[in-house]
Amino acid sequence: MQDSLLPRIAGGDQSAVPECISRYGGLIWTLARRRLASREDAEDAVQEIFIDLWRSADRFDPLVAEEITFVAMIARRRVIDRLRRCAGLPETASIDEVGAVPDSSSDGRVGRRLELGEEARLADEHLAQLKPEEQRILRLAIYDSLSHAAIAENTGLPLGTVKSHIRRGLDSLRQKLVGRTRDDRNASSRSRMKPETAAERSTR
Amino acid sequence: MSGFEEKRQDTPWESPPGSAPSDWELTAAAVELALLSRNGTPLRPLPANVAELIHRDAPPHLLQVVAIEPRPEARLGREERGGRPAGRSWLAAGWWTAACLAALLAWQSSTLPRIAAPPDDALQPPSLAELRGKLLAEDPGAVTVAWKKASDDPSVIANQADLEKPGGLGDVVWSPARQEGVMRFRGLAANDPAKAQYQLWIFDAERNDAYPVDGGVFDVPENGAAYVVVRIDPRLSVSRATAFAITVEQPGGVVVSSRGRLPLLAALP
Repeated sequence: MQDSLLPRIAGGDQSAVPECISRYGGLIWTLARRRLASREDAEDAVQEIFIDLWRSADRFDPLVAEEITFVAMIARRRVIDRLRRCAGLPETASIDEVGAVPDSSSDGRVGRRLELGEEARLADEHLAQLKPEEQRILRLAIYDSLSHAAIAENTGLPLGTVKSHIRRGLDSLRQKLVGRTRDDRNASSRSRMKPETAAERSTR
Repeated sequence: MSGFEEKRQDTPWESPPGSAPSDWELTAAAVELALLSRNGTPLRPLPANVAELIHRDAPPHLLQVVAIEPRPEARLGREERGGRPAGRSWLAAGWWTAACLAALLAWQSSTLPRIAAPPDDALQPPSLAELRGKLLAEDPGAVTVAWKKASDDPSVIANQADLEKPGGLGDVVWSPARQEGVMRFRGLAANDPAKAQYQLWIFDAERNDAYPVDGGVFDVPENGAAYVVVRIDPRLSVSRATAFAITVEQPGGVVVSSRGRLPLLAALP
């Protein structure tokens, strides 16, 4: 497992900045490009995402999540927020399309494969255990960021069913990830995602 | 409530930038990474010109940190520190010995602060940042607890947004196994060391609450919105920390605080 970079950035260590750009730049760029149709929008979004990362580096807690999950979360937020602000509706391009389009500014270099974190591997495992319909709906909601109404239209399912499938499916994944983390925390130092503490809740 | 806010209430896995991370969102991010990987498509490299811009524009957005490292002579003195038995067995001498030492320290520190204002050579943000990360990564028993405003003490000058945000005032990372920690905070007023100093106290479940463990005195320099990061290295062993408190005391600190001025408290759940 790679050392975390965000605690160093939170501590003002500027030498971690290029490492962080190098480690997560490809992931963030890919996450931005697959949702934002305009290349200029994606460039702006990626810059905003990194600024968010610098500013929120102190919020990363390795006991709560893996760094790659935290980074992906920050990226998702910014890209989805941008979509909502700009268009109101996501214009999702599939990753396959993005991958197939030559990228002139990257000299045609092919990026490395995504190195999944443990949490994403767990999510993949648990996702595979859901019913196909639930998997499809979760994919449309989380991966493609479609609205509930759009998913209902796409699948022909009632809106209420779509909503309950998404919430139940994601909640079961959440519980499994949290539960797994609790077990890990007790068993070893490789603890990860944990629920919000009572103290945190009380500060809300 | 706007339609946008309603939408967000309906989708807890989507929050606006700047919000506190939630496990819903982290789960959604893990799902997206999983599905991204399923496609097997290589990540596209970040365009070099964008990477350069990000690197160039980073400094103003990085958290400004002032790290304060205790000086060795600021504690028991070089001779006593050098002769301190391993494993903190000197603690067996009990509270009375500790109290005597603390009283001696309080007397000594009237001219020599235990944790002085940060000289140039003490500005080592990476070391404390690394220690914090190390404690969290390597000690499964390490705890993180957020500071909260404990009173309307004038030394708390944090803005309302930081006061309301979980962890907005900073936090404490404490490793029971290693008996050390790192606290960081912002929103505390700079102090004049000639008039008053901040003092950290650690409440221990196995000690009388009237006598929390002294975590040392420290100063907050003028640093604007920067974080102040301070190493915690208590002179007494802490069995089970239940809370951390910062008081404002006379220069050099006190042996027993009246708690008349207690601006920040971090209580473990």
